[in-house]
Parts: sequence; C-alpha cells; structure tokens
Amino acid sequence: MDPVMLVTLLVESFDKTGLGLLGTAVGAGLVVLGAGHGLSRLGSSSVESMARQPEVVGDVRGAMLLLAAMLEGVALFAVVVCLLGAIFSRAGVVG
Amino acid sequence: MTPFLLTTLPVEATDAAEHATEHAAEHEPFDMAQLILGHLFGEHGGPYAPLPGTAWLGSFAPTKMHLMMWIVAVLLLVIMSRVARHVAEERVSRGPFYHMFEAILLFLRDSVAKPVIGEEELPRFLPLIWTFFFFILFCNLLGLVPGLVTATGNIFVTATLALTAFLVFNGAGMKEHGVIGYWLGLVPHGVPWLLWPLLLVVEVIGLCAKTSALAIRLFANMVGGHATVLALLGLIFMGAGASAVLGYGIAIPVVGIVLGLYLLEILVAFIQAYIFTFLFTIFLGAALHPHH
Repeated sequence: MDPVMLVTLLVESFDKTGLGLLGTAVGAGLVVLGAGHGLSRLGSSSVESMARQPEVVGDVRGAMLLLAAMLEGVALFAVVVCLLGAIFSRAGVVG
Repeated sequence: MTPFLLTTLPVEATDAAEHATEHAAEHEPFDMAQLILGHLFGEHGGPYAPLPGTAWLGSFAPTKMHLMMWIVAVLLLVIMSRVARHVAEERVSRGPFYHMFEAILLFLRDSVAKPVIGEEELPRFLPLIWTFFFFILFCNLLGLVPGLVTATGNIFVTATLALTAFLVFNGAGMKEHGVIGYWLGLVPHGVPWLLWPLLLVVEVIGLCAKTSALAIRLFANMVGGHATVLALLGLIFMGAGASAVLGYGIAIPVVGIVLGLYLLEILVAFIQAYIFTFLFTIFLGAALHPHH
C-alpha cells in the first residue's frame, strides 16, 4: 500500500466529512491561482498597450473590463462547484 | 390579504420570541455555515419562506424572491414609461434622471446592439436587450439593500433569463435561415464531410454551454458577493462568541472592509448586467449573420 492511500484511509477513519471539505478548499485555492494568473496577464498586456499608444486607452479599457468579467465568471463556475462540494460533504451526502 | 396578516403576524411574533429565549437559554455556539447557507439558500426560511399569509398556497406560495421580482417589474414599468414618454415627445433631457437613462440606453444601442446585429434588426431586438439589462441591473442593485433579497441570486431566475435568451436567439436564427438551415448552418464552411456530424454535435453542445454559462456567471457573481459579505460579518459574531471586547473590536475593521466590498458589489452589479446583455447580443448576432 503506498503512503498516499495509507494517509487517506487513516484520515477517513477519523472524520468522514473532512476530506470532502479539504478537497473543496484546495480546489478553491487552485481556482484563485488560475484566475490570478489570467488576470495578471490581461492587466499587464493591456496596460503595456495603453502605454505604447495612448489613443486606444478607451477601447483597451473597455476590452479589459469585458475580459476580466469573463475570466471572473469562469473562476466563479469553479467556486460554485466548490460550494456544492462543501454543502454536500457537510450534509453527509458524500461519504 | 389583511385578515391573513392579522392572524399570522401575532402568531409568528410569539414564535420568534420563544425561539429567541430558547437560544438565549441554550447559548449555542455561532455557526458560520448556518449563517451563510441560511441567508443564501434558506435553510431556516430566509428568502424561500412563503410570504406572511400565503402559506396556504403550499408549494405555489410566493416567496421573498417573487416579491423582489414583482417590485422590480413595477419599478421598471413606472420608470420606463416615464422615460418612454420623454423619448416619444422628443424632449431635451434635462436633469440627472433623464440623462442617466439616455446615457445607458444610447450606449447599449450604439456600442452594443448596432455594431453586432445591424441597423435593420434593431427595432425587433433592442427592446429585449434594454429589458434584459435593466431587469438584471435593478434586481442586482435592489439585492444590496439590507433586508431585501437578490432575485438574480437564485439559479432558477438566472436560468430562466438564460433560457429566454436561448429561445430568442435560436428562434431568430431559425426564422432567418429556416428551421433546418439554421442548425445545419452552425457548422463552419470548409469542414470535411467525415467530421461534419461530430462538429454539429460540438456546436450544439457549445450553444448549450454558452447559455448555461450565462446563467451560472450571473448567479455565481451575485451569490459570491453576498457570501463574502456574510462570511466577514459572521467573523464579528465569532469574535463575540469568544469575548464581548473582541466582538466590538473586530467589528470596526470588518465593517470597513464590508463597506468597501459593498462598493465593489455595486460595480459588479452593473458589470454583470452589461456582460449578460452584451453576450446575448453577441449570440444573437452570431445566429442572425453567421460569418463563415
């Protein structure tokens, strides 16, 4: 038996809901990682283009806001999944 | 309505008083999950309890969510009829009220609708685009008022909005290109016939995914904002559970942070209404004039 399975079995024997909540929390953290990376790329390239060419500031600002909202939407899909996992593991539906 | 209120309100008041004294006697520890889930999804009544006096309707009883949507509908009727009369009489806009609506309506028409769906289709779809924007905006903003509930914070409301959008843009596409022609025209030109059925399935699934994304994006943004505010305010009660001084002390920075979050939520309310409307317009444009 490999160590990961051993640790999982040990934890599960103590606390049935803990693993579900742990998975939820780790998932939410990964979502933040992805969203932060995406938004930082978006911000850096848009600010750089605004600095190069000040005439397009208005258009770039509009596009940046739109893309940021779409990216946030994707991150929030994953947050909804994490919320569902937390609710179900707390309610004891998932073993 | 009044007889029901007279009979049910006193009963509910005494119930609440009994509940409070029970709680004070037991002094059960503060449950953060209960606070958030109760306020958002109504485990203890909350937004999904039947309105006072309507419990006899059973599962058809209107809840606070319904009441919020009715309030938004009445507000829209009153305000928009005033604006429509102003436009019809071709008056000059003076004052902040008319200027605000003129700015938003013209922005939606000139920057969102006209470039995407073209000038000829505007009279058919512009009222719907305007309605989507203002309904979602009013629902989002009214949900920020303490004591009121966000109607768009309910997945069924946002799913209905997205389903309406789905029906409208597919219906418009089917009317434009014919019932079969629209669905067959989803697949881009120049695809080898071997891949054609696969690509058709992929495109149809893509349409459904884009529609559900519309619903979930709006729902998650609204619920996420409220959940964060509730979690931060729950910190106060957690601190108060430990000691009264900690409760009052933690309240000061928490209320400051929550105030900032509220301003962000106002921004998110506007942005999400705009995103829903803009994406609906994009899908409509793609259905009406597919650029292949």
